[in-house]
Parts: sequence; structure tokens; C-alpha cells
Amino acid sequence: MDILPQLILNSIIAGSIYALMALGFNLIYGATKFFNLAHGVLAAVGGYMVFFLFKTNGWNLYFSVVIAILITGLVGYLIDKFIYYPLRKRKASNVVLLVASLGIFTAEF
Amino acid sequence: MDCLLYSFFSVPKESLRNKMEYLIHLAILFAIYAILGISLNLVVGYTGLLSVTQSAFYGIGAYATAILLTQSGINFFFSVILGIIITAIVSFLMGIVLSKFNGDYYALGSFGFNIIIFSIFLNWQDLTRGPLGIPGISRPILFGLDFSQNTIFLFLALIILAIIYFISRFIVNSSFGRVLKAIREDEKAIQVFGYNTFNYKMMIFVIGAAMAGIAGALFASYITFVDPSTFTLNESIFILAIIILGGLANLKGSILGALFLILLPEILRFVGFPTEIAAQMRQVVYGVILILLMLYRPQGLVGEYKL
Amino acid sequence: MKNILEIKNLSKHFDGVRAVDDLSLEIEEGKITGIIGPNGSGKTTLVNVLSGMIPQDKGFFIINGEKIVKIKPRNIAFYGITRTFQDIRLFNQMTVLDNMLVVLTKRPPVGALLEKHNQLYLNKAKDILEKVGLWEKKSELAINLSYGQRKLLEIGRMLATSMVTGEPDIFLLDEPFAGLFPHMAKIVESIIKELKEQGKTMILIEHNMGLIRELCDYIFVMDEGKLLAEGEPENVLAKKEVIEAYLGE
Repeated sequence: MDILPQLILNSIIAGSIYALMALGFNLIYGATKFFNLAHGVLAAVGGYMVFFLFKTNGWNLYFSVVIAILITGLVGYLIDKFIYYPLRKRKASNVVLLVASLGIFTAEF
Repeated sequence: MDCLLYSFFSVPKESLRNKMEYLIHLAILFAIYAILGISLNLVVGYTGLLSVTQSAFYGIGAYATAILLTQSGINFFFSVILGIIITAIVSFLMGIVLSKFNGDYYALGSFGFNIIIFSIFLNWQDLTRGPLGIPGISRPILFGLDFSQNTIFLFLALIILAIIYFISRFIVNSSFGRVLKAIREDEKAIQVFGYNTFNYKMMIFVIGAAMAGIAGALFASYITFVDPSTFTLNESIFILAIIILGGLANLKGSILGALFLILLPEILRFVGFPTEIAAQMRQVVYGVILILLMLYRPQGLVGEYKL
Repeated sequence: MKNILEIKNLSKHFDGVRAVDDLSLEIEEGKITGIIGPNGSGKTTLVNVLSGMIPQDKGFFIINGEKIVKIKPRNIAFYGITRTFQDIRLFNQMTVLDNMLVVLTKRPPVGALLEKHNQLYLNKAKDILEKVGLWEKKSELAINLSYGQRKLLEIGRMLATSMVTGEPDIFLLDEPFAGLFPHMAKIVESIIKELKEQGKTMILIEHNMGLIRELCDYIFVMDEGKLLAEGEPENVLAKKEVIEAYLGE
């Protein structure tokens, strides 16, 4: 009987995380009409960053989270600057962008 | 492909005989990936459908062969045929859904299907033994030849590659192939001239899937062990990298691309990366290659078609 | 003379804009019918709906006496309709010759796969390519041609469309003369005249009034999706409303 509240809580947590990621994905799609298949990659980067800063370096948890968010944002920015933006500038077709995002996905995995 | 890495790097390079063995091993893998490359190129390069699910059919062919060879006394040849039939059915069902999409949605949908099939491999434990995999698959028994000898197996693999190559060439040079290219260029426009593009897309998708299934059968029988980890999304992307590197809409390009990407880990090792790092690096390198290709050379090595 | 094509109460809107608004017109067989009107009057939308590329909201068609409500692009060939595209939709990364051959070969997939190389197709493609002056460029990729050459290839492809049921009867030409140098325009003109002699029906969308006057037997004027006027070119082009519609834009 104690399991039920725990399960519900777990579901809410998991659902919220997915919803958050979906919001981010949707934001990018709405602005650029482009499916960024590498979106999950950035989430992974965020996770690893927190782990790295918090566990390995021993920083304060909240501080690690904030820094991780900033770093992830930076990584996203760099990906756009060096990969997506040059492609968009030369009016590359959507397929090219998609394949590039597949490249990022597989490189990070 | 991860399990292969250990066999790659565990072969000592001292004796010449071992070197030969190793080369034959690479050559067999090359043949398998060349078949996969050609099978995907028909769908992506010639018809313009960005399908990211080829490893699913690779896996179905492999598992079909694995299950049939370990659980019944069926001849290798017949298990390949059955594998093709199963692959054709699954790809047909998938194709009905996918062919309604175009462009981005096609890629996304195929992405999803790949994950579904992978999950089936992993979770349908009664059939596939899940993550444990299926060991002890026998080598083919055909015409009294001893296929446990890798040299003879290589022979078989190359013959099958040749057959697939010539079938693909026939398809591509036919009127059917010309319509595929027109679908790639402008599907709505070619419809106006009287073509049922849905049927064409279905046919080539199923044909490509069946060829990938054949590669899977070869793989299963060669390695004598299959498990789900080989048939992931990353594997599909790897096959995509092969054909983009070689050149889309170019069959010889797919063969070239397969050659290059199979030899790549060897080149990495040669250049000095320690073995363990080289294993992890592999995936990063494939991804980076894809990105670089998109940025600087979308037509690949010998392709005429620019993405 | 009978009507080969009738359009009844056609309506199509995009996000609230009425591209075609309750349009009805009849096309007489064997005549060249012009459709003119200022930009945005719905001419191209009309042709796109007629060739099945977009579905209409309301209305239907009577083609060769048969009532048709839903037009699928791949079926218009069976109604005897073929067309050119205003914005040139060629198969860019295919050769000139392939652009022609691809509309000549068998339609069913299995048939197309097993079809042996047919000299007949090659001959027909050659005839048409020579007529438009593109035979020497047969191995050139369509994307590498000049604008005028691409327009000529569009026309050539339209001519080549062979049908399971026979040669096409209705040709939809969407601004075939736009942007062409005089010597190329002459080629298009002679093709149109030749089709007329063969008794084919043509629907011609054009902005060049001189050509309209010279080529068309009957014209319809569209404005804001509606039919503004119809009749013989000389009469219609003199009408006040028509002149105002053009000048007013």
C-alpha cells in the first residue's frame, strides 16, 4: 500500500522531466521548423555536468545544477553556431540539417 | 557491432597467418556492410526517403536465421529465404505507415520503428532470449563445403554481395529506377504524370529491407552469436554514414563507403590511439564524419547526387 | 462544339483567403482557352486544383461528360490532362533525357521494373527534344540548364506525357511564355499552334496580352477568385472592368 504514493510520485517526476524536454524540443521546432534529433544529447550533457561538478568535484548541489544549465546552454549555442548556422546560411535542405543532427546524436551517444 | 570490437582487437598481430585471418575477418564484415549500404542507398539515395531503421531489418534477418538454425535443422539457404519473407512482411507493414509521410516525418517515424523493433529483440525473451542473445548458430552447410573455414565463408559473402549489387544495378537502371529518382526530386510532380508513388515507395522499401535481412543472415551465421546490442539506432545511423560517405545514389560508392568505415578503426589504431580509447572513439568519429560531410561534402566520395 | 471540361462552383480558400470563389466555367473542346487576371486572382490555384495537387473545398468537375468530385494527381493522366508548372518543377538532378523518358515509361511499378529498353520511347523523346532544341543537351542535368531552356524542357515533358489510355487531350499551360527570349517564345508558339491543328484542347494562363489576343479563341478573366468576364479576346479586353482590374492592382 505504501508503494502506490511512491509510484505516483515517480511517475510525476519522470513525466515532468519528459515534459520539460518536450517543451525545449517544441521551442526549437516552433522557431526553426527543424527537428533537432540531437536534443536528447543536450539533456545528457546537463546530467553528466551535474554529476561531474557535484560528485567528482564536490561542489554544492544547487550551484552545480546552475552551472550545468549554463554549460548545456553554451554547448547548444556552440552546436548551432558551428554546425546548424553555417548549414542554414547556405540554404541547406532540411534533410541535411536532419542528418547533421543524427551525426551529433551518434557522436555523443 | 560492439562485440566485434573485442574480436578485432584481441587478435594478436604477430604471425602472418594471424594477419591473414584478421584480414579475412575484416573482409567478411566489409561484405556484410556493403550489402547493408547498397540496401539503404536504394531507399535513401535513389528514392530520397530518409529511412533510419535499416538495422531493424538487419536484426530481423539475423534473428530469423539464428532462431531457425538453432532450434530446427533447417538448411541455411531456407532460413535465409524465411528471413527474407519475415523481413518483407514487417517492412511492408512499416512501409504502409511510413510511405504516407515525407521528409522530416519519414525520418522521425522510421526512427521510432527502429526503437520498437530493438525493444522487441530485447524484451521478447521467449523468442530471442533478450540480452543474453542466441549463441551457437551454425555455419551454413551447402554443397558439402566446410563454411567453418572463414576463407570459404568470405567467398559466400562476396558472392552474395555480387548478386545484390547486380540486382540493385538492374533496378536502378530500369524505368522503375528512373521513377524512383523522380520521386526523390519532386514527388508531387511525378504523380501528376500518372504514377502511383505510394506503390513505388513501398516496393523499394521492402526490397531494401529484404536485402538488409540477407546481410543479417550472413552476420548471424558468421559470428555464430546474435544479441540486441548490434541492432540499435546507432547502427542504422552508421549504415547511413556509409552511404553518405560513399555517395548517395551510387552503388559503387556504398561499397567504397563500407570499405572505408570498416577500415577506419584500424587506421585509428595505426595512428596511435590506444585500443580502449579507439573503441569509444569509433562512434564519435562516425558522428563527426557525418557532420563534416554535411558541412563540406554532401555528395560523398563518388556521389553525383548532392543532398 | 462540345464542352470537354466543365468546372462547377469551385471554391478553395487558404487560411481565410478565398483563392477561388464559387467559380464556374466551361472549356470547349479543340479550342485554346485563355485565363487571365491580375496576380493573386486565383489562376494558378485553379490549375492546381484541376490537376489534383490540392483538394477543393466545394464544387466539382465534369470531364468528358463524367462527373468527378475528387481528383487525385495520378488520375489526371487518365482523364487526358497534362500540364506545365509556372514555377518549373523539373527533376533537377536527372538528365534532360531522363526527364523526358520518365513520363513515357510504364506506370505500374512491376511493369516499369521489367520493361525492356524501348527504342520507341527514345525516338519520341528525341523528336520532342529536337523540336524544343534541347537534343544536344540530352545528357545535361536539368538543374544546369538556363531558365529559358528549363521552361522549354517543361513544355517538352508535357508533350511527352503518354497515357495508358492514349495521347492527352487537355493541356494546361501555366505561364509558358514568362521570361522567355523571343526566339524561344517562337518555339512555344509553334508548339501551341501545332497542338491546335491536332485538335487538342488547351488552357493557357498568360499575362502577355498580345499573345492572348493572337492565340486564344475564348478567354476568362478572373479577379480575386471570381469570374469577372468571359468572351472573345477582342471584346473582353476592351471591357472597362477588365482594364480596371489590371490597372487597379
